[in-house]
Amino acid sequence: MAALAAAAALLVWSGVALAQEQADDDVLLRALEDEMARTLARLQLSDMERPYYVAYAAQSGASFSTGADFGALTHESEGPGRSLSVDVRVGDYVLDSSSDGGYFFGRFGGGLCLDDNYDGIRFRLWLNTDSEYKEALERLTRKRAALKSRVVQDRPDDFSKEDPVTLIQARGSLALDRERWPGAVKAVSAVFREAPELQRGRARFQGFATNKYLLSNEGFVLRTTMSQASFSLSADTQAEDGMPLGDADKFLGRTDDDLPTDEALLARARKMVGFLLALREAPKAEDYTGPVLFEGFAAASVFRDVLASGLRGTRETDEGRRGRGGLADKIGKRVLARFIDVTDDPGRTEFQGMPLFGSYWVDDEGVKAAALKLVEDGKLVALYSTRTPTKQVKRSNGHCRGGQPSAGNLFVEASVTLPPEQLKDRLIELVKDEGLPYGILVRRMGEVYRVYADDRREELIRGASFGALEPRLLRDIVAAGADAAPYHYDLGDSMMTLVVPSILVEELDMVKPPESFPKTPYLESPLRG
Amino acid sequence: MKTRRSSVFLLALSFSAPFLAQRAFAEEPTAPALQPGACAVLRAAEAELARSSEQLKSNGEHPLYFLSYTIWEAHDVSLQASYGALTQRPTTRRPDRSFAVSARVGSSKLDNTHAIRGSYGWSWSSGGGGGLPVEDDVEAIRAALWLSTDRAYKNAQERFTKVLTDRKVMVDEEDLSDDFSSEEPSVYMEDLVQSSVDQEAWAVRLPSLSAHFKKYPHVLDSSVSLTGGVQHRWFLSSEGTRLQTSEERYRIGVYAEAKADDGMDLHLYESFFAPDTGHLPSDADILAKIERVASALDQLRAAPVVEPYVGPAILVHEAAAVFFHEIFGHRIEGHRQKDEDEGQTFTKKVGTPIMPDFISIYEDPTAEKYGDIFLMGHYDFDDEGVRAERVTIVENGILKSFLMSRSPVRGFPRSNGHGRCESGSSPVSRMANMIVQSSRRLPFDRLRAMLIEEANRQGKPYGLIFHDIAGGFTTTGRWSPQAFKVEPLLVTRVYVDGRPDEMVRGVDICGTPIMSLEQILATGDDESAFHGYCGAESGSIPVSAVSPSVLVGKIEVEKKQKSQSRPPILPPPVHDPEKEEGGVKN
Repeated sequence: MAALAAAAALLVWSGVALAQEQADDDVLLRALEDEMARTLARLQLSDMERPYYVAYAAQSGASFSTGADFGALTHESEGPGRSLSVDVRVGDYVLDSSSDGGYFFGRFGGGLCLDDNYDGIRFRLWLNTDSEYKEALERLTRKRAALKSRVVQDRPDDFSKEDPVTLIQARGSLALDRERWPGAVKAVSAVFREAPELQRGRARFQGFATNKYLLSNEGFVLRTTMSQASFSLSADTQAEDGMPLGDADKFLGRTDDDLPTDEALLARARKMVGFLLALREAPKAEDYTGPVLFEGFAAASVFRDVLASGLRGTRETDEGRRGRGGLADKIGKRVLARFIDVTDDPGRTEFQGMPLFGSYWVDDEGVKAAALKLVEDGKLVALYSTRTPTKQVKRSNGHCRGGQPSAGNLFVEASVTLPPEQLKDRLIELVKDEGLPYGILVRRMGEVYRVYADDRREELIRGASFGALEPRLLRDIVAAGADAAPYHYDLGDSMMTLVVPSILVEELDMVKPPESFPKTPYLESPLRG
Repeated sequence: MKTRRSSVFLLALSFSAPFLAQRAFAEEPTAPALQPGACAVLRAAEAELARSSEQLKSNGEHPLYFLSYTIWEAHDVSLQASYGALTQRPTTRRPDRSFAVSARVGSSKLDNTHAIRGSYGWSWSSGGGGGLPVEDDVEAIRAALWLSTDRAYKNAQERFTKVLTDRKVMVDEEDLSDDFSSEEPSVYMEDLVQSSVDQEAWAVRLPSLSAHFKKYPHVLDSSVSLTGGVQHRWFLSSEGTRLQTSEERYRIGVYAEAKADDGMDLHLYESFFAPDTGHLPSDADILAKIERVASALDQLRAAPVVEPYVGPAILVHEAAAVFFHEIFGHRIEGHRQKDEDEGQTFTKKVGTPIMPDFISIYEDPTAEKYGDIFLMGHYDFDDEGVRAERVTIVENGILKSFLMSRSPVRGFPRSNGHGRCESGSSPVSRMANMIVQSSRRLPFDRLRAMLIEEANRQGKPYGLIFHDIAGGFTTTGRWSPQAFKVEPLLVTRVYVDGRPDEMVRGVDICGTPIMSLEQILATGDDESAFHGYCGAESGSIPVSAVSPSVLVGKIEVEKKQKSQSRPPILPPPVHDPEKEEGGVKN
């Protein structure tokens, strides 16, 4: 422990400072504007159609990452990064050259230079615009030909027209505590060294800051800035019978200031060790059908998997392929218990004093997002949408994130709630009604307990699985906790936040683990704790 | 997996410059024990090797009889600039460490690496591996080695059981050689090289060099890059081999693309190799290459497209070196001689003539240089820890030997130090420095005259000269034709009627190996080396090939696949006479 304390003492906090810069010395923005002007004025292949839509999306930022296994650094890197996406469309909003069913416009063209070199940026824009335009012409020809030989009913438009947004934010830069994190990943992963039962124990830190540009001929001119920091830790072991056991956790924030303190991270690692050692000794799960109480984290996972990911429209391709369904065909129907409402509000920045990292002002397509009612009294009333219209939604509601319709800040609000301890009482009542010896309590996915009806005793079990959760379990929610809290998820280059309460589901199937597992290692770990 | 075991040789073109390769080696210790103060990596591997090889002998159904660790520490440099600006720069603040573990169960006569017939995909892997901590923390390194060793051992057990079953149910194999050769253990500790490359200086030089391409409106994408660095390698085996090697290697690449009016994409790549920073080229040398690439692309754009053709051709030295690498080199890799899914073109030809008697070929990883040319494929010990040997492959046209790893084939029970792999892979027999020599060496003018004579004799209006070749590939498996294809970059037509030579474009050389070797008529006196990275099942490895120019009686060229898209519509922004700037117009 002496080593840990020494490492922790070296760690110093620092905040993110956004570098304030004037828009007029932004070489990247100027190059984007100038090549856009030339493209609009003159890009035309002989007598072919000119583009009706041209958009440049660029990112310019930097990232830092480091990680350690069992207390020793495995990597440490930092560098600048830029990307460019050019979208050139021919045709019109009703029928254009965009590829079928693709939400994300354009694609990443490689090679945008890392320096603010005006000629270098223009050169790359020129090459990518030229090839995107030619591909657009070919794609539209193919699409028109395909549509001639098919009858497509109620074909949604290819692109929605939206009000242009202009916003130039001050540019941000990557400001994080570069001294702190290598020491922190080492110290946190070194905690795992103390348990020779562990086969792997690692900690990772990643941070990035990026300035996002979006220009289109419709008048969108945006320069926004965003940053993200994350700390994750994970450890693996095997039970005596060989069952692989693991646990992982991830903390997210806009900057490294949002992440827990070193003491808290160390405590989290110690808790993980204790949990895994307990899990090794825990009895195996058995098949179960009955009430299940999902607390906080676990409830958030359920809502993410069966609600947030299903709230998107469908679009049949012109070749007749169906899009992913989810809850799209349930509009107007009941999808949740009657006492539950769901809204999304990217404009909200905090919940009971806690930050909401899923907040944003414009989405990836530059569209402003407003509060959106998704479920009312258990009935589905809306879906997330982007500028790619679907059978269900014709316009964007500003939810294009990470290339697809996604949540920002999703709030699951129950009109009737119970204090957490009463949720457990309610679980036991249901268990008794069913004549079962125990009910199931899930604290986090992978952390499952039996709750015995006779003495309320909680018993950790291992190997429990609920299979693929079906959306219909949401209709079987019989109670919600008065403990709604925000849970954050990483969408790659943005985050979403689900503000959800614990939930009690009336009936769910849980299955026992398989019978055979890989053998445990022949030799003892060289880490002797 | 039709591409199974196909040996793809994707080489980047290079022009050699004279290099002096001088490296100080530490005195070679003779004691098998580690020196005190041996680095943490060695100590960690030593500890895991000792307890694993001891205890795993008696655990499990089949005993462990061989265990080895290879650990690589790469200090990579990778910088690239295009059009005056940096497009890639190193982001890592630390070296990268990775390792591979090889575990063998059974016995050297028959073990878990034995080919299982009729199985698709990679036929075996004797181990595992992955990343390692970059800090010198012995216990943390041991933890990573321990887990992979356990997995490799379990996989070996499982696979060996399958090998035994396969033996029982299948017909006898043709080649009943052992699975693992017996070799003397080596102990060799080289000083660890420190890279002296000044990355900040190159981060300024490369953009400024790359800006020269801006002068040429016909050049589309282009880049100037510096890649390479230092790689340390440690190898430890349960047989007592202990190696520490360290090598430095750099490459400057110059790349550019253009498009002909008919849509054909054209590209040229040239490079410099250096064994250390002291031998990196000057700005003037790099600039000369940039100019050469830009002007050759301009000429190519205007060059006529060649129709499919069969006739005589000269492969200029470096092009000839690639030709030998593809049509011949991959087919004399030892392990292919016993794999019953391989084409085995030369397996039973040892002692018989396979090419004209004026050609001899040897393979020599021990050579750092050929004349004054630095060779990329140099090493002292291969990736199985075996000391590298010079091997005579062809003597006066007669096949003498194969390139051997520790996987024996009939008549060749020992390794000759050609077991090679990229970091993280399992070694197989591979080329290193292949040297083609000729006793019929003619001045190039004479070779050119013979080309015209030969074209006349065959009734062809012209012969071809292949100056540069980008690379090529060949398939050696039975699943696909025994064929090769190489991609020439610069080709000229030499007319029999005395018209001036003419640059042409749009051809690939194709053919089959045995016929092509028999068609060699004469060679030049102008040996030169081709350097590149050779890709095959054990990864990408640095190689060189040296050859004089070669006159081939018949070579076949076919049309290259061509892009249908037109050249860019607008001129490059810096060459646009109508400058329209000043913001977005709606």
